[in-house]
Amino acid sequence: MSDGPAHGRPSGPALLDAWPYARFLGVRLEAGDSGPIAVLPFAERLIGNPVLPALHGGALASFLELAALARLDAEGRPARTIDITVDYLRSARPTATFAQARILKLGRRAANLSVEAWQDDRGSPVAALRGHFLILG
Amino acid sequence: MNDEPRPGEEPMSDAAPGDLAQRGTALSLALGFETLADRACAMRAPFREDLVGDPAVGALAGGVIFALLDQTCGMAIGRALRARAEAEGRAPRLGGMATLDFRLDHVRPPRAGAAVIGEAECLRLTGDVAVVRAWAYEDDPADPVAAAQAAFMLINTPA
Repeated sequence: MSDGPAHGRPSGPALLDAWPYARFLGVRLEAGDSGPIAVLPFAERLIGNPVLPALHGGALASFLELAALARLDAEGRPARTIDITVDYLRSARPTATFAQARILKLGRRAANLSVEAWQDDRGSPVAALRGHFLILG
Repeated sequence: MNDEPRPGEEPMSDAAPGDLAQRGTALSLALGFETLADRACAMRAPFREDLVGDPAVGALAGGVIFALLDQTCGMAIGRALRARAEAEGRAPRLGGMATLDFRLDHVRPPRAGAAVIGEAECLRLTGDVAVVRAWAYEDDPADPVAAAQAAFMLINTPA
């Protein structure tokens, strides 16, 4: 966890509170054994397919991206997204979703992260993100 | 947990251009997406303070653009399915669709305080898979903020 704000921004868990869209989605961070775990509590507005019902792919992607940005922020390396690729593995049911980001490469200018999202069973992820992030400081 | 994407049961037979936005997923309604009738598969994400990503930038969050383009990709697939049915001389019978993968490149940050428009086109419809590309911009499609490429699995589509 970084000691203080970089670039005058809030950091750590406060980062997600300070980002309006993260608040809109309801994303929060919890401490985990191997780094922070992002939590997306279920909300009706996150539904993409009302028939199944299933969470919207865009909501899931946003959640995974925020988990990656928060992970980098926790390293004291605030970042901006360059590109992300999301693989949808299973239909995401209307329940809480969790995500943990893994830093595969932390360079001076860019980082490569992998994030998995799961619901009840961590062994059966619902979506996975790979992405590049531009390090801001 | 079911390992396969479950088929949607919702009939989409009277789907018309723009229906996806109006039919509205809860998320697209909550984000305030508007269908643009003057283009084939286009939707607009109006600027809203509560949808800003990094407040230091003051622009719509990357996730909002992701959701916008995901939704316009759905529109483009619906349009391609209708065109295929028309070409084959039968009534369109659209099923559900499940995103397989979706890549989004952020070309540049959107302008602070600006609405963003998303457009999509279906590159290829095979039996079960649709390949789609989409792009987002404020005013000029030649000056995009983001570009996407995605593959979708079609569910319950006529053979």
